[in-house]
Amino acid sequence: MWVTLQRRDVRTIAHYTGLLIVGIGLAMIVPLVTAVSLKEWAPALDYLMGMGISCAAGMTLALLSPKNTPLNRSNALIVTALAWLAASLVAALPLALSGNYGSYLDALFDAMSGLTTSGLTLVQDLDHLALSHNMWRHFTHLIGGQGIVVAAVSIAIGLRGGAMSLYIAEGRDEKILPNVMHTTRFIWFVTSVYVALGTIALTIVNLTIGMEPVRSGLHAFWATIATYDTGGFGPQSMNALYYHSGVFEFVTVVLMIAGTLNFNLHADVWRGDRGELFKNIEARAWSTNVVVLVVFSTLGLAATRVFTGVPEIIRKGVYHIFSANTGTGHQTLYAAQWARDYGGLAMGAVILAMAFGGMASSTAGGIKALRLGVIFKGIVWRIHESLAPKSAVITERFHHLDDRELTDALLNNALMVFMLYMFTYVTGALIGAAYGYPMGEALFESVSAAANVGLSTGITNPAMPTVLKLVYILQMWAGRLEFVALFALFASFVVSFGRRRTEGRSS
Amino acid sequence: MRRVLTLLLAITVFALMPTAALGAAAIVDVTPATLASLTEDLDGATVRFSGEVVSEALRADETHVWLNVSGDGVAMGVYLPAEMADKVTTFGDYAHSGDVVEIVGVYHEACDEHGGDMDVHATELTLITPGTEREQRPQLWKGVVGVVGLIVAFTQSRRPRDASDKRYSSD
Amino acid sequence: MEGIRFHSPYHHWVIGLLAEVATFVAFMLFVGVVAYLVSLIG
Repeated sequence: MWVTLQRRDVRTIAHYTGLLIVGIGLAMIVPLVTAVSLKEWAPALDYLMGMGISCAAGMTLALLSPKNTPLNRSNALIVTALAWLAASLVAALPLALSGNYGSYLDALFDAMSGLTTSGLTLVQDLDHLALSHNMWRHFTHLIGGQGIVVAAVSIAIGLRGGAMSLYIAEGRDEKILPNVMHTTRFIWFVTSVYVALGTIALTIVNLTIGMEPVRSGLHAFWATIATYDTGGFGPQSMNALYYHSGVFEFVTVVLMIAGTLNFNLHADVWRGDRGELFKNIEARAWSTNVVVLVVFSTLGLAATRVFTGVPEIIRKGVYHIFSANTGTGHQTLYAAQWARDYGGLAMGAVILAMAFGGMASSTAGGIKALRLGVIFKGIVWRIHESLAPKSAVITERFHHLDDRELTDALLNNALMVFMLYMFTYVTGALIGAAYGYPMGEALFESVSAAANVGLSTGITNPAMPTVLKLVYILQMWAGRLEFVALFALFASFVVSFGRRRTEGRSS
Repeated sequence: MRRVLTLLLAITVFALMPTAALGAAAIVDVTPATLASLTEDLDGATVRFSGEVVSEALRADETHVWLNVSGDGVAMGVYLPAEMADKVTTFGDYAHSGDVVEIVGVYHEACDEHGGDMDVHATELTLITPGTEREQRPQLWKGVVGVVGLIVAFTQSRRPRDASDKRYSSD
Repeated sequence: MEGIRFHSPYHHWVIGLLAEVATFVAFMLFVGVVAYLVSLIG
């Protein structure tokens, strides 16, 4: 049975979406303060206007339903799906006002890319962009990465109403600590420790390479949230190549790995259970994945002979595998180098790294290592079963936080999401190819968008076809939500709209 | 004998040809964008391009710095002795258009010295036009819209919003 | 952080954090060595 939306449901959904929009508006205080303290008056007004419009629009929507309206599971799913779009729509406002974007659509592209921690960008003349605008671009990684929904749970809604159902809908349904409040606090705690440490480490790096103290600190903070939240924006047009520093790249890779680690694993390790890192199926699947892909990319680089010698293989081969696999998308190559210098095999390894992605319950994108591990176990299970006598009952076990038994339901779920990602990757690539881009590059860019990575072969640029911009926006959105929530949104609209029409006709 | 001579001549011509070709194309005029797009095979060639120096000089080692020189929206890393970079005084950022400089140097598609980064090792730097301040005029109407929006939001938030309210019982 | 109370009284979260970072760095070095060995063959 399909549940149709009643007017009350629509109002409830509007209420919570409104609250989220107000939250985004209030978050604009951060770039506003940055602008004022750096005396960037023009951007300061952009943020004041952004704040005003988002707060007004958000409050108006929130008024459609009374405070503490209960939120049921299906409505929570819809709010989650809508949240990314609604948040992007308002987060794009100040960016569009900055004058560094070709259109509102380009700004929306960046806002969606930022909030979904992707990192593809359509900004123009980035090297002259105000520091406060850069603050906002990177801050969207933090907002989106730690979850608009988790943020809403911890700030706007508290524990009343449908906090728990919102939380489940976002896909982070495994319990870390016994209750939501603890979980949210734990996520923010881990985040703040890593952000603080990363910022300090990178500030030191930046100071030693001769940046001014203020710029050092800001760049360090941005690079930290862009890598820890596996985003990939950079404050300079050269992205990570700007710093010309191996140490910088090393520190950011540590942050990327921290960002791709399942929050449950963080919790277990911080609690003192170090063994979990080695027993866990997801950690195993992820590290195996990285090692295999590094072997491929190294072989690929050895074949093209452009990048030779250990430092080059590490900084161009290994670095990009980490950047791709964790879903970060920082790159130290010029876009055209992917096809020309990097070579087919290594580029293929990077595409696979992006497609597979990091771990579940983290900000990484892609299919996720947990699902790959489960699918691998599932294949072993089926082979084992087919070899066993008919009467034997074969079970397959794996360790993820506890010892668990592999069930058909788990396997089905993993395979379905795997298939949906593959379908999205290929569809995006075909659309890109239809616009005349080479197939390899189109696939690279499509996977990069749908897996929320952000590496680019140069297809993503302000002059690209509008339809392709829309396709990538949709891919980033769908990939972040792991499809189900987005499909639920479309389905409920289609069903409700269809039902209403037939009702209208019958009456 | 004549055959041998012809052969020798041919060999000399062939041996000299690459050198002659290189000699003619000693300095190739490019832009950072053409270098980055790899449309021409210039690895190891001496190139000349001009562009705006952005953001800051970054320390590379004891004696050298990096300047990131931008043209057509693409910035290229230029590795050069620190004293040569001293000529640059204004760097491009939000408040400034940086000095426009002309760089002559050796282009590396994947520099072995610098971890495979694409870069140019400069031998010459000429200041073409000094940098200027960029004027950014704040547009007050944006502030007005913002303040009005905030006032609307504030008044909305003061309105009573409980379930007993008539407005919510319409359906 | 009052909200973070761990089950085991014997471990401080800082040790967990250090263990984590050490594991990451060790893994990166391991991957680097793998890449180096492969490049010798390739």
